[in-house]
Amino acid sequence: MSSLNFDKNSFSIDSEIWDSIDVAKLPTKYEENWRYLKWGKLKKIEFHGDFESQLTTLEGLNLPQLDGYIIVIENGIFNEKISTTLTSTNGLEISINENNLVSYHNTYFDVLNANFAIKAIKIKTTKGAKIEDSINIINVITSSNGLVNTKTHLELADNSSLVLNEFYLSSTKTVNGLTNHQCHISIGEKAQLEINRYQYPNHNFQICKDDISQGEESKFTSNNFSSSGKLVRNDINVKVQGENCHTELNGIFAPSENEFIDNHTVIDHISPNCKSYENYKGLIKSNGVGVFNGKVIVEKDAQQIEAYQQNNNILIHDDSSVFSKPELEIYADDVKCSHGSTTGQFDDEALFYLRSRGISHSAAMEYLTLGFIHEILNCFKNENHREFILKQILMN
Amino acid sequence: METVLKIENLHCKVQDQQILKGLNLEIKKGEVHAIMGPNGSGKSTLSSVLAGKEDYEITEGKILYQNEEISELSPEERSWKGMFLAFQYPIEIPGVSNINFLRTALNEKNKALGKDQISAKDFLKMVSEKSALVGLDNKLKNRSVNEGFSGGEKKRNEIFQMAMLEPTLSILDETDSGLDIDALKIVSNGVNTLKSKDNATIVITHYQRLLDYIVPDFVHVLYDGKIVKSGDKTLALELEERGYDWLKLETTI
Repeated sequence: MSSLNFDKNSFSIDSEIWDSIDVAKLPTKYEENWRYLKWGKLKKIEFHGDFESQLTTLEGLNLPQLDGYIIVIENGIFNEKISTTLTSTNGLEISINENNLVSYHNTYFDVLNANFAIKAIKIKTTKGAKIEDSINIINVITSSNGLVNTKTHLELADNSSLVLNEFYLSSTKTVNGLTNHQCHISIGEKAQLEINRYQYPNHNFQICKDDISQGEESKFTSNNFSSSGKLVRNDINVKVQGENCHTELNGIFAPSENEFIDNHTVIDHISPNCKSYENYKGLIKSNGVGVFNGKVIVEKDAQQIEAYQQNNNILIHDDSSVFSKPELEIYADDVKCSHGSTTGQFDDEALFYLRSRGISHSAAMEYLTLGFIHEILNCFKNENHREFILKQILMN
Repeated sequence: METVLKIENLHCKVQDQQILKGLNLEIKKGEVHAIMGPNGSGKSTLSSVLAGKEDYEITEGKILYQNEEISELSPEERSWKGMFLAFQYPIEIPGVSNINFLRTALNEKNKALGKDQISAKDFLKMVSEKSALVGLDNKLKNRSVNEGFSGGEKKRNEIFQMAMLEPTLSILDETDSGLDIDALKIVSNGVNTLKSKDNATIVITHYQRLLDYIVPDFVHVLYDGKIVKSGDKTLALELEERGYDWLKLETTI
């Protein structure tokens, strides 16, 4: 039986919907894109879908200082009491709507999301609107064994710009919850979108998928920070539709003891004259497991593409492991593309150098960690958030 | 004068290879000792062993630093006690500012010695004084440790760090390698200025050239893991003229 277990009575959906869920199957290790995932831990759990809101404040949650709009989604449900009032002024519209988006059912998690995500957050900008305050979505799970499905729909009109920060976390005592998130993003011509994502669901699971489509001369930046989580799977699929686009995917992933973080990205260059940069760093602790699988596709008519992809990994312990698979598929003949992957350990000589200056072993390790990730860390523009990331990494 | 370092019958191996084979050396405060020797004689091993690098196993003998056996101490503990190694190849640490790193180093030392943390004001004053000593460019102080530094800048940075940490025993490992004559003068001048009756210096080098600028009180020749000849600065000149072969001959006979 390759599917998850549910306490069906706790979900308020019709029985025919269960039929479609019951026939869907978890991806297996024989499918290339899922080969490293082991579902054992998930399959042991009976997930429920009966939630109530518990949070009356953000205090007590592990969050950096937040500026701008705050939208709290607790167990998949909008927690209005501790969120900013939803707005539809100054070129920005944030709303919570019935999920009426067309979904493509490719995987088991697509099926779950399509059937269980009843509402979606919709964020829209109007033409030319430069939104100065960033939007923070706090996606928190507070119910053990809960199955949470969330959906975000982002639509940037031409010439507009927006910064979105997403936090995926759990309350302290929550274990074995699964958040299955999907995000549909369309970026208009000359629009600019930056997404900073912070994932640290601790003893919980998370599956996350973004589908992005970029219009002409648009810019998309995704900064992804994943630390902690029993199992975290990220899929970022970017379709670069228009010409002269800029695409940037940056990531730090740092699984520690018994944690698994799997990053899959696809940048599909459909049009000519675009640039894309991808840079992921894995810092694998204890017996943690990390995966990086980045694919860049340059289609036949997409000439003059510059695409660079890099993945570097540090294995901190003897039993840490990482699977890295950089992929380039090029069908055009006039492009500049490169990819590279390295996996190693911290340089003993560097450690010795720092210690010989009187820096203790633990502080020296922190310096080397900072040295390893700083290039990506600097992609996160908010200083508080950078400090937050460092704290998360050094804490584990 | 008080003895800073006393090495007795030191035997040491790396993996399974015996590198040091009964080395003896005594250094007193106020002295400069040069250690010369051909490639592979064990010079760099000696500096690494003294600084506490973990790959080296001491199989016999003692290292007494200020009358204390230090073989079991970690590199940072040795540093706190006043030992300093200027690296032949200083390491680049991206993302860590030179100044930040030194401040951490000083504060960890103060903490270990039960002293107060240095104030920001005193620290910056110290930085500007000590960097002037080796003519370290201001912008290098704020850059990441050694990242993108030229060979000469890296060596100046080593001496700058040495000046900041005010060691009792400094070991300069091939500090002259990769330096042009002007940089050599500046680095040597820094070392000479830092020299006092309360500290001691070991200069490890291949060539006599450095010793024109940092004048040693004693010159030792390390060959095949042992000190085979000691003398005053004229020994360095003799080596420059005759090479090492005559010594190899002398020791094998």
